[in-house]
Amino acid sequence: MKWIYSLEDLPYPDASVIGGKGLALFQMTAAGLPVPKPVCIGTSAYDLFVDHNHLREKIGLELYRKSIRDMRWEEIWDASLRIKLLFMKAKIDGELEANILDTIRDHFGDRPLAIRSSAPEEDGAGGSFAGLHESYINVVGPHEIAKKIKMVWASLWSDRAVLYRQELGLEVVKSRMAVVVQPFIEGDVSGIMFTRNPLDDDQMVLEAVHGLNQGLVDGAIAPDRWLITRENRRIELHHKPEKRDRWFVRSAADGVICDVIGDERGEQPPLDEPGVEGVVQLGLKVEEHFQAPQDIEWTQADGRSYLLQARPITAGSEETSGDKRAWYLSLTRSYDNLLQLWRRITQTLLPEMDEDYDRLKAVNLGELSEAELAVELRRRIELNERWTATYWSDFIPFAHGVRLFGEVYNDSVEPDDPFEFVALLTGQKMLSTERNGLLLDCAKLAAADSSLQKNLKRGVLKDVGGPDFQAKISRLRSHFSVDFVGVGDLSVVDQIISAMILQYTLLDSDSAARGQEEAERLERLFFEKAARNIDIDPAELLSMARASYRIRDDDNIHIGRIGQELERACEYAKTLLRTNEKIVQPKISALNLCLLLEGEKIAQDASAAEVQESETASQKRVKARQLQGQPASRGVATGTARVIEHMADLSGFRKGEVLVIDAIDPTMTFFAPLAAAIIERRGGMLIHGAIIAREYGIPCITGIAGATDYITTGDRITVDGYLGICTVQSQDENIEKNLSEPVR
Amino acid sequence: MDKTERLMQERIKALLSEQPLAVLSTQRNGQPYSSLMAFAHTEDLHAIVVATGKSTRKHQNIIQDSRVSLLVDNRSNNEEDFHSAAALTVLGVAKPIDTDERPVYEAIYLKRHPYLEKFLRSPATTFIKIAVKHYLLVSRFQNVMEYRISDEVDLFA
Repeated sequence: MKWIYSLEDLPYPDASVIGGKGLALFQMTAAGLPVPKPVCIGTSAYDLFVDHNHLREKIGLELYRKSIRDMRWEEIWDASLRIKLLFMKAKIDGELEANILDTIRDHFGDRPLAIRSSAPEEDGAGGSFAGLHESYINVVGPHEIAKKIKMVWASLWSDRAVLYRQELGLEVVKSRMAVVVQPFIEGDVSGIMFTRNPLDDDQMVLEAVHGLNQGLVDGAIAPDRWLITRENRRIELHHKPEKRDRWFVRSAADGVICDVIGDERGEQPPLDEPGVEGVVQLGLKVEEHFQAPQDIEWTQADGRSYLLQARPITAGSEETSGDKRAWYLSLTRSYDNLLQLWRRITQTLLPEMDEDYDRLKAVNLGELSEAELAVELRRRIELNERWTATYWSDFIPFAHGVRLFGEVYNDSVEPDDPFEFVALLTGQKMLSTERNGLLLDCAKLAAADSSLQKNLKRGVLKDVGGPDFQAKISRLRSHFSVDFVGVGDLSVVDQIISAMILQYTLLDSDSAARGQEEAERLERLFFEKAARNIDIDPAELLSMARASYRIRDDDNIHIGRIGQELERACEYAKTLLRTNEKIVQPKISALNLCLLLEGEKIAQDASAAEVQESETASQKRVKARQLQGQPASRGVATGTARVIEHMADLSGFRKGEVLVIDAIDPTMTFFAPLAAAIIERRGGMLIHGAIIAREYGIPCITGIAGATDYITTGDRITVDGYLGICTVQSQDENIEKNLSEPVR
Repeated sequence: MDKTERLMQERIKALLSEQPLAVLSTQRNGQPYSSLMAFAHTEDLHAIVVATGKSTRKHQNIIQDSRVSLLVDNRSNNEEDFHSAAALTVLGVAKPIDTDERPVYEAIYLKRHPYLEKFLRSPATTFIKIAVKHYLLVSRFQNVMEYRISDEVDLFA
């Protein structure tokens, strides 16, 4: 069996064996273009590795837990993380590994290497795979070589690669991967070139940076950019970046680092005019060879130009609307980008949001006239919209901080549990845990005060208990948006809070004790391993990840407070309008309320208030016995299900029940400590329900489609948080009884 | 019938239609006994019919205790079965087919298994109807959905 191919292996195998990139590099080398000599590890090696370790069906089980189309991106990311760890833990067959390492040594000796992905689908799949899979440079030593080959293979199963294949309609589980190995060229200057500008057929585009290409490719470093007339090769425009203060260089260990550039070098453009001419010549040679305009990557070292990659520019290229690769690529954020987001969120956005909230809270709504209230309501709608937009543009992307950390942790530590890293992120002061502490304090006061308990049982919070209790309630309300955005009828809120406090009196406060020591041990382990594995400061990465994790929960609470203020103004508006004898439907929108306040007449849909949902006979006929989701927090628990379809259902929730819910809103995570287990329809390891469940050591399954449809309040259910399986015992056992007696 | 039930019926019918054979489980004195059987199903999913020699152990078992279980699956005996195969467990009660209803069930059975005509018509063969109570459909390795076919099933008991 042949696993590895070099330039001597004529005729060259096709792209199904060595991948599109591998084949192109072979052809370019044979044509005399200055390509660092390539060797290709064929897809047969991938097959052997996968079969040898029984990974094929493990991948199938991960990706077909439910229909990929029904999976949220987060769930696919989770599955990818698990698959990647399977690859890292698996061993390359001895004969195969020896064959690969021997061949590489024969060709390259001990030189540092570039190890790059080469997907067979790249040819003719109707989509480009550029940038979707991983490549590694400056790889040294047999152990690292073998590890990086496995990482390239595993990158076939990254979330973005899986989603993109799915998008292209490829049969995901049948994918395979070839690997290109080349000597690493330590470039002084690197860049890319389009031999034809996708936006202007008469031009060429050249971009260059000092040092290596990495920063340019992922957008971390702004390049110098030249537009060149194709016909006479004259430079039409040289666009300089704002500053050239950083560059990517080879790291002493392995890989690359982003470093500060020396002033003298930073003042100079990476290429002078003859330099530009040299790259243009190279580009034209490639174009001539392939007889089509090319998108190339190049580098220059010791005065020589090297061609790192070339691919044809497809019609319209990057601007083609049908190609969503760019979107899939955007699913990862660079470390630098995340650090910037972190600063922006903590230094600017959160304080601004809090200021807005304070301003809104200070307004005495009861004093306002209809017209004034309309103005105030409009201001609140606008603020709420603005912060919601910010939530999507800044807070959500910052959640990638946790992902990046998770990937680095797993690459460095190679733990048995792919989500072990979460333990390092928890145990910090999150607003939701602080809020739960306040609830516990209230519960302690209630436990010692029987008249307070009586009031709580009646759902009364106003003027009960002592000043200490009232202070805590007021702090709960003002700081943690427990007033449930969207609950509509605010009178329900007091009942829910009362019920929760009573439930918290039953909670064993020690159960919240976490494995602090374990977390510290993992932290030391991570620092030690990561120091050898990555070039960024592990402590800074961990701080960023912790901020990302914390803000992921807290941002909702912050933004929830703005929403709560909008809701409050709506309630005032309804009361005022009704006082003035105007008809207001309970479910009226905020905007329509404004119109009513401004004296406009609007059509109100009375039927919208009446939504009847009754269980049909057939729903009883089709029942789930076992439902499969994503294991999100370990442990097994059996309990009575409490299905939450509406906020009001929460007041019936009792300690020890299994919470079954569409999605735990961050403003309601304080229910979690009371639950025996949690089941969520929405999937993902990093959603709020999963985070809080891990925090409190409660079994949790996420991503069970139809959880709230197929499980009924009162069902006995067992939640297996190791495997992600929920077993439903039937509430009505009549038919079992019928079947239990022998029938003759 | 709502969408969930219709969908469930479609999935069950698809599996029953594409598979000619099922594993029939009977028992005697607590000892389970499994046999591979040709089968056919009615369009309303209320009944599954099988035929067997009167002297066989499974038939003797059914006479003792008419509660049976059937397993129908679409495995290909490859690794990928774990994520792609579906299995249907049927729970029901076996009973002999009356003379007046026999032509209908015979037609259904012989349409699926025309080569078994001689076997079916042999005096030594008994033709059995299984009145289905539950279907349990297992897919994606660990998803189990139950379909209670009808409360009227007991009318035939």
